[in-house]
Amino acid sequence: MIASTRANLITLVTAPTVWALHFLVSYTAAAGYCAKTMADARVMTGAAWPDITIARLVILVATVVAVAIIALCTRQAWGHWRSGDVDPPFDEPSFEGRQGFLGFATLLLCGLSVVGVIFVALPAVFIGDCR
Amino acid sequence: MLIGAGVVWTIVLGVAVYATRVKTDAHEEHVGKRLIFWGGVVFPVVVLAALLVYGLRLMPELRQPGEGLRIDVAGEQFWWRVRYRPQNGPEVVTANEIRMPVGERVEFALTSPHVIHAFWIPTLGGKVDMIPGRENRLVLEAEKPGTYRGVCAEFCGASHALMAFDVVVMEKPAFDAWLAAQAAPLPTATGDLARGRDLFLQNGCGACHAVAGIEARGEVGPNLSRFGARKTLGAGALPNTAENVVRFIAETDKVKPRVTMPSYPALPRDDLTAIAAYLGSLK
Ligand code: HEC
Ligand SMILES: [Cu+2]
Repeated sequence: MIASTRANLITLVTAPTVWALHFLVSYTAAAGYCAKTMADARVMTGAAWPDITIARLVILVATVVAVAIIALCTRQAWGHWRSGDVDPPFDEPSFEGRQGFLGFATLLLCGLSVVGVIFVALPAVFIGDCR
Repeated sequence: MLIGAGVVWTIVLGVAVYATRVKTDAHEEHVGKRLIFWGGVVFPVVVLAALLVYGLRLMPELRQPGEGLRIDVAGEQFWWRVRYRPQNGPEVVTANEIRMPVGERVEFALTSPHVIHAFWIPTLGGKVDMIPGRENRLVLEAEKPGTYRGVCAEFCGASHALMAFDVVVMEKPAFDAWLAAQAAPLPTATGDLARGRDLFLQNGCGACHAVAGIEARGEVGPNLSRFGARKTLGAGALPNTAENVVRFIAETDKVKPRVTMPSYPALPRDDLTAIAAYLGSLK
């Protein structure tokens, strides 16, 4: 995460980027792990379905990390938003106005991203094998 | 689900009417903010989360192992290879028709040797792809006896639209009796039927088709051991009547474009009729 005393475009996109990376990690963990174990234990033989505890743990860790980063991001964005003493619609051409606008937009994106991350992780809670 | 959709719809329209008809002047700022936060953020997130959890909880159920009977179905171009694997009792191989007992979770193992097909019985459940190199599982439970229609739901070639099958849902005892009867030997053909059988063998049909009890063990085409009991011909392409069977053999490519089976336009009408009669007698 990009820690910054000032809100800028990079702090703005941090949370959605974390969301995207979390999705990538979760997807590859589940797909890759299932492809591999299923190839090892061809189910045609009647063997049990390989369990995917490892992939679920990877997703769990990725989720905790992602949520933590977004939480830090949120705290920082909150600070940027509140730094100047300005209110929406943040349309004054001033430093405070820009900080308020960027901080507030970042804050909203953080909220969206955390919901996204949790929704992406939910299937791993309910689905316990590669079927 | 429908009720939930109805509630959301009513709320949205209610708000629209309220905004355009009832209260046309602006809200106070903090009221508006609160409305956006609760109605526009919290409410959708909670509803979507609840729906997601509800849906995800149902998914493992659909994929739980069945209660004993397993049916392997392979999507061929353009027909269905079906193999029943009961827990006790011999395996039974058929094609283009699936029978299952009512009120039992039947597990389907879905595969394909070449291109992607999709196995779909709309009345009983969602479609599942049949992917080369993979085996997908689907568990279906029929609640009412009857005949349903299944289709291939993934474009797979020229005769994709003619790739369907019947699903016959039977009471459990009738189903068990039927399955046991499938493994019993077929009666030996006599008289005219014997002529049909010999023509079937002489023309090399046995290279692609298997019929229990005679020298026909081909696996390229559908197993014809109980062909006479099928309701349809050519995976739902035509109703299974003697006349249609004659037509199917004589001009296969016209009935079903691009199938592996060659047409037999040179066979005398008489021979075709005899073969059709023989195949129709296989029950
Ligand atoms: C090269 C292999 C091949 C040969 C030889 C062949 N068939 Fe076929 N046959 C097939 C295939 C493949 C199908 C499935 C076509 C489809 O529906 O997509 C089929 C389908 C059929 C069907 C419909 C089966 C069903 O379940 O609806 C009948 C009946 C049939 N063949 C009869 C014959 C007869 C009679 C002969 C000999 C005169 C013959 N076939 C020769 C490959 C062959
Ligand atoms: Cu198909």
